[in-house]
Amino acid sequence: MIRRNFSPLVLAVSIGLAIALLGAIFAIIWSSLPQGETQLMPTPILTVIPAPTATLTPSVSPISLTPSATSTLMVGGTGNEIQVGVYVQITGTGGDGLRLRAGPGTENEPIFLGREAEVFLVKDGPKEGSGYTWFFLEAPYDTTRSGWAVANYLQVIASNEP
Amino acid sequence: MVAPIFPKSITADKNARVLTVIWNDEHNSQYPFGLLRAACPCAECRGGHENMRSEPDPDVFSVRMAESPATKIRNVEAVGSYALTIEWEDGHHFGIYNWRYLRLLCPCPICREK
Repeated sequence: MIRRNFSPLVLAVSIGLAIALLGAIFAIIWSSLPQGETQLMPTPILTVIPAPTATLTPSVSPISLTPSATSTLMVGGTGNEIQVGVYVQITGTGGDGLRLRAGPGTENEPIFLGREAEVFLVKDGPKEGSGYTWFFLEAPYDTTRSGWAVANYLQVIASNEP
Repeated sequence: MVAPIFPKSITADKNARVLTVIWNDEHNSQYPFGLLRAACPCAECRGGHENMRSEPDPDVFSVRMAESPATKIRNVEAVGSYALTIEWEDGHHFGIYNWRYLRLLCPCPICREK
């Protein structure tokens, strides 16, 4: 078996050169990184201002029910009438949104997906189709965003201004 | 080299329904809650992973959202030091708005003209 003996001086110089080489490689890699990416971004200060708590005052005025001889189309389950000229919002889709279609019926192609709580102006309807009542809706600031929607997921909003 | 943009402070005003971000370049962004919800970047809101983008959909600036649980913020939290997540009153909380996305969503006229 061949056995080599290295002098302590050669061994020390070799180790020193290896450390220097590793240091140089590390320095080159570090300097090649873009400074912006290595800079740590501070976490911003987050503040949530709570909404004022509503205080409900119970009403004690008596309610009198008078039977009406006229019938009104009541849709959306809110007691508000959907008709041409009112603003409605999409509601009750559980965040899934509502398909607005090219015509009043489920056989018509969906044009786009209205978002939950999105506001539209009623431009036409009601029309019956596929067992549902439909209204033609148009986004107030984008007339290209329009289509027929099922009334079940629409709710009249109080103000005429969205 | 472009300096990184990040918020110095974020304030969600539930009364005014506006989220205010003051950026490190001193720009002040005012986001209506409805805009933030319409622009929620999560896969569910964008209609699937294939529709997710690093920039806001231009349509969100013309969408009008009514006041509802879907447009009321319950809580706002930082995600590390790179993004923001919003919990809405309807329980939705999947959207992660990174700083770049949030800045591109700034509705001010100066940012919209860029």
